[in-house]
Amino acid sequence: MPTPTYNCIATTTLDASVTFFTLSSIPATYTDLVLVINGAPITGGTAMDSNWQVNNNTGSNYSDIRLQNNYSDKNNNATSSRFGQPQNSGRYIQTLHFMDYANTNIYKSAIARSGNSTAVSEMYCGLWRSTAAINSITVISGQSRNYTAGTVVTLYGIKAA
Amino acid sequence: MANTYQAIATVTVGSGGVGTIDFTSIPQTYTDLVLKLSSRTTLVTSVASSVFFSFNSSTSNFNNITFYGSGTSASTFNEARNAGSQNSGGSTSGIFANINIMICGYTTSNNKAYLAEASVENNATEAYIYGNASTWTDSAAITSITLTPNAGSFAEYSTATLYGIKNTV
Repeated sequence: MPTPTYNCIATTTLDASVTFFTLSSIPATYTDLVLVINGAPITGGTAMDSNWQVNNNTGSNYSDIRLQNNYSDKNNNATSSRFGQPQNSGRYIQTLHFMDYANTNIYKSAIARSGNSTAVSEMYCGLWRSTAAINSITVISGQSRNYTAGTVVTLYGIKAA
Repeated sequence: MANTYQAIATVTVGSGGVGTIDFTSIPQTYTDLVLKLSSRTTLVTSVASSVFFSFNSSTSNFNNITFYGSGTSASTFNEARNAGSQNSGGSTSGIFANINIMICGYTTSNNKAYLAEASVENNATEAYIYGNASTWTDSAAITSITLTPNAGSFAEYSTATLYGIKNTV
């Protein structure tokens, strides 16, 4: 008999503006991780890159590719990986999906979707060149801008059995 | 969370790889299916190589549109049964593609629509990201799914899991 496999690990609502936040002590008992951000409009500028790091690793071990509207670009050997471009013009959604995040035989990659109906629809692929299991995720704003109060952050775990 | 998202089966590829990944005898008790694939192919050339679908062993009546980014440009193409691409031997060892597929209404007699997204990252100039929308114009309920690499085999450590989602608690 199949068992329920899509579980909420943690959820929080930001009560103030921040430039980063961390989800830590992620259990290794799932197969996939899905981070969902239901974001309030940013402050400090029109738009910013939203980036992820894992396991407090700040080395140049990250890369990404972006498909944004009818445009594509990429970053290599970066200190974080992009997964969205939130705006100041309305709420936005970001999803970040790590498959096999605890598999120590493979590098960790993620696929992300992000969007804001007034500005952009995006897909991202990100990579962390490490075989370590992911135990924390830090989300970092770019361009010295801010995630704001009312942003809801939820991390789900999906089990394959 | 309601008990509506359930693992049906998982395939983990062992040493030597496999030519296809098959899910058979899919229960007809869910509303939608989600297939999650972490994979690469044993093909020794190229950075990326396509992954193809078939349902119920049929390779007919599939339609597809895919939009993709290469890191320098964005474009679209049509290729029946395409579910995106996975990393190949021309990409850095240890990097596995993420492919995420959702099939709605798989038990109905309507045409079957599915969406897929796939990523082939490589920390190099050549990398890809794909989003596609497809339809299988067939009235049969989906009872089996086969994934086939365009070339080579699914490599060791590739994993695929099929989930069922119910729209009732």
